[in-house]
Parts: sequence; C-alpha cells; structure tokens
Amino acid sequence: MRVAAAVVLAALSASALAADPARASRPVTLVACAPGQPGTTAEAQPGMDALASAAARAAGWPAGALAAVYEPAERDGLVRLGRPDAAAALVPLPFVVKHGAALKLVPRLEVVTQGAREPGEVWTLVARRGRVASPAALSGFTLSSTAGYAPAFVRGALASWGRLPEDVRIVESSQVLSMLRKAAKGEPVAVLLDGAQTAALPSLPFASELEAVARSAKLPSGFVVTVGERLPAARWRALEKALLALPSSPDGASALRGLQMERLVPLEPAALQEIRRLRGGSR
Amino acid sequence: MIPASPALVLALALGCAAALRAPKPVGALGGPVHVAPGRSAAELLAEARAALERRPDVAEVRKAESLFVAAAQVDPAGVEGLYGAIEAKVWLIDHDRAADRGALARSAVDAGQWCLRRAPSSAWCDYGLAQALGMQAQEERSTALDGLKKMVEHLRRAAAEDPSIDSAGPERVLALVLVRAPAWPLGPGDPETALEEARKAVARAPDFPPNPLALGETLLATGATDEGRAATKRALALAERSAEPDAKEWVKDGKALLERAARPVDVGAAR
Repeated sequence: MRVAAAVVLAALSASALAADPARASRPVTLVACAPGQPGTTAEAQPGMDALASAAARAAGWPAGALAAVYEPAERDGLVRLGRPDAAAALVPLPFVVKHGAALKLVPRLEVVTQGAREPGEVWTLVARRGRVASPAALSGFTLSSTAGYAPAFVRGALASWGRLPEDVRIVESSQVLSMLRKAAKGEPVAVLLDGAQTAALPSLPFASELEAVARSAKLPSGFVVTVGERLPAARWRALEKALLALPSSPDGASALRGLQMERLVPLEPAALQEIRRLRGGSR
Repeated sequence: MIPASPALVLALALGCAAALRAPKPVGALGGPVHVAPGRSAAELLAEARAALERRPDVAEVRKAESLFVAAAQVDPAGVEGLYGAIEAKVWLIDHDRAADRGALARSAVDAGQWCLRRAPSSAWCDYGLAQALGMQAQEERSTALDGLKKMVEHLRRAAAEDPSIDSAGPERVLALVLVRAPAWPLGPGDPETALEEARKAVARAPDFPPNPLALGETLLATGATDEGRAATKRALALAERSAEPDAKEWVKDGKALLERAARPVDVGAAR
C-alpha cells in the first residue's frame, strides 16, 4: 500500500515537472462538499475564508493564493470540482467512494472531527425494535441516510453484517429525524446513522422504539484530497504541512473549530484499503 | 406592533458560544433621545408606538427604540418598553444599513433578559427574547447553536403562556425556526413539527398573512408542493390587500417563496 501511494506521488511529481510552469504559482481553490449536511455556500463562506487564510499563511503563500468554498449539494460540488482551479477538496468518505475514481481524487489527509481523539467513525443501522433481525428482513424497505447518495458506500459499510437485499431502496435524505419517526412508527424504513447521529439517538423521545441492528467497522470520516494533477507536488507538500500545523496556531485552530474539525492527520494505509473495499460494496 | 415574519432569517452556522450573558443595564440599551423631565412611561410608550408605526422611516424606528428604552427606565416594573425596544431593534437589524447589527442584536437579547427578570411568566418577554436570540444567531454566528436551542425553548414557553399574542406569533416563529434551523442532531431543525406549529398558527389567526406564508414554507419543506403553493398564494393575496406597514415585505416574501416552489424540491431521491 505504501509503495502504491509512493508511486502515485512520484507520478504526480513527474507530471508536475513536465507541466505548464505557470501552474506552480496559479491560485488554487479547496472545495468542500458534504451532501446532507446543513448550511449554504454563503453561510459557510466566512468559515471557508478562515480556513484558506490560516492555511495559506502557514504555507507562506501570498494572500489570494488559496481560496476555499463550500458546496452543500452533490451536484454543485461536482460542477465546482470540474473547474480547473479546484485543486484540492475536503470531502466525506461516501463522496470519495462514489466519485473518487471519476474525479481522480487522491486522498491525502484524514479528518479528525471535533471532540474525537482519532480519525474515524462507526455508522449504525437503526430500525424499529424487533423488526429487523437480519439483512434479509430489509427486503422492500427504504434505507435512508445522509450518505444515501452513495449506495455502494451504504452497502459496503454494512457488508460485515451481510448482503442487503437487491430490493432495498437506498435514499439520500437530510431529514434524519423524519425518517427515524417513520421507522419508530413501524413503517418499512431503516436509517443508517453517522457517528454524531448515533451518539444523539438516545436523546430522542421515541428512542426506545428503535434499536441498532448493525454497525459498520470504524471508517474514515472525511479527507483532504487533491484533484488529478492540478496541484504541483511541491505546492501540495507546502499545503499539507500547513494543514497539519493548523491546530498549533490560534487562527488555524479557530478555523478548524468553525468547520467542526479537531485536526487533520496523515492518511493511514488502511483508509485507502477501506475506500477500495467500499467502492466494491463488499466485505 | 411589528409581527415577526419570515424576514427573521436564521443563521445556519455551527458556532457554539453561549448565547446569553449578563445583560447591560437597561439605561445602556437605547440610543440618545431627548426626554423631557417628568414624562410618564405611558406617554413615552405612546410616542414610541407612533414612531414605530412610521416605518420604513429608519430615523423614526431609531427614535422608537430609544423611547421604548426610556419608558422601561421610567417604569422599573414595566415590560412593554422592553418588548417594544426588541421589536424596534429587530426591525433595524433588517432595515438600517448604517446600524451596528451585532450590537443591536446583543442589546435586544439584553432587553429580553431584563423583560423576563421583570415578568418571568410573560409570553411577550419569552417571545421577545426568542426573536432577539434569532437575530443574534444571524449576526453573531458563534452563538447560533446555543441561541437556536434557547430560542425554541422560549417560543414553546411563550406558546404555552399565551399562544394568541402577535397573531399566533409564538407558533408561527417556532414553525419558521424549526423549518430553517440545522437539522437534528446539530440543531433543532424539524420540518414535520414545524408544519404542525404552522397549522396551529393558521388555525388561530388564518387571515394574518405571515401565518399562511409560514404554512406554505413548511409544506414546501416537507414535500407537499401543491398545498405549499396554495397556502403561499393565499398569503400573497391577503398581503396584497393588507394595509399593514409590513405588507410590502410580506408580498415580497410570498413571491420569493412561490419562485422557490417552482424549482425542484430536494426531499430525498431514490438510488
């Protein structure tokens, strides 16, 4: 795995040397895209500006060399990532599973979410108590999740529990509460919750009507990725160092807090293995 | 009286600073205004209300804000001045381009806290503090998460104390908070409960345009597109016939909502 990653980096470096020299100093944009999460582009912009400013300062880049923008919707994120200045991105695991290959997203750093000590989170499948004893019991169900836009992720995350029936209807919905209510009422609905949602579940008044029927392994939450070969290797190295150092400066720590992140950490090889496994939707 | 309407935009930021802090003294909550010695609170309130009715004249609303605060100083037990000051501040945040919006929002929260200290069971004070917290969440996003949760608590209290105030204001504003706030578990957002609250508001005051407007917004957010459009069109028709000073804004809000309703609604797509 480490060899493979090194080969990728070497290939990027080589192509960078052969590429347009102007690329070495061109302003670049970090695109954050988190389908199913709250907030609009405009509302998130102050936080994104803070992140770009702190990272650029730490990298020793001039003002304006790095911008950051948030696109909450999958479709808008894809459009924004299609623009040539979009050289890096901050995206959740399901997004990488679904679009990583097509967009040539190269995972570089892993996100440690606010309040967590290490990267990663466990996803939990929740259904009405006593209703779902095995994957087969989900036949004809709607399986809702904020990650429902990436069905391969959903199937892959639950693969250790068993294979989901083909007729499970996987849907994306940010209305998690509404779907949980439906499940609690006995409708054929199950909900795949992320780590934060799972932690908050006991606080719901109808929590006793629900039960966790399956849990994923600990999976990466999100990544900083580079996009194709848009960021020359030397510039990425400077940006990587800056992003890793964010918690050690007041503005960097504040920028991370504003985006609900504790810190960014170097990518573990196991994370790449997980991505490959989840792309296949398999165990 | 300024009805709280969909113009009360909520912040969706993720900050976690405390929304409440020790309030400044009542005397520090208003701008400079000349008050002749010996004037009663009733006289000051009457003048303030008259000035407030002259909106959208910004200078008059600023004057109203200060007069309301002056009334609250003259009558240390009264709450009308404090609620009126909140109304004026909330309006100025949305309309006064020269204003320090953050300072106005903070002082509105302070006025709300004083109001509740003076009358702990007053629906108006809970309702006023809730509106102030919403504006503060918008202007100082670090307070958004705590502020929105407290806003919901105070609106529920106001609705329990007296749901009829401000033409079913507590239920209407609660509907708007719940439909616009970040969803569970991050925030109090809950479109289905928002719809229930909007229906209650319409049942209580059906001909008050912001109520069917809130119903339209919550119906659209829960995927009931046809019903949502119908409620919004009804609100628009009512607003166009209204002589209220805010009627033009309700018309604008209604048209914007109908325009939004014409676009696809994302309530979850099958894969």
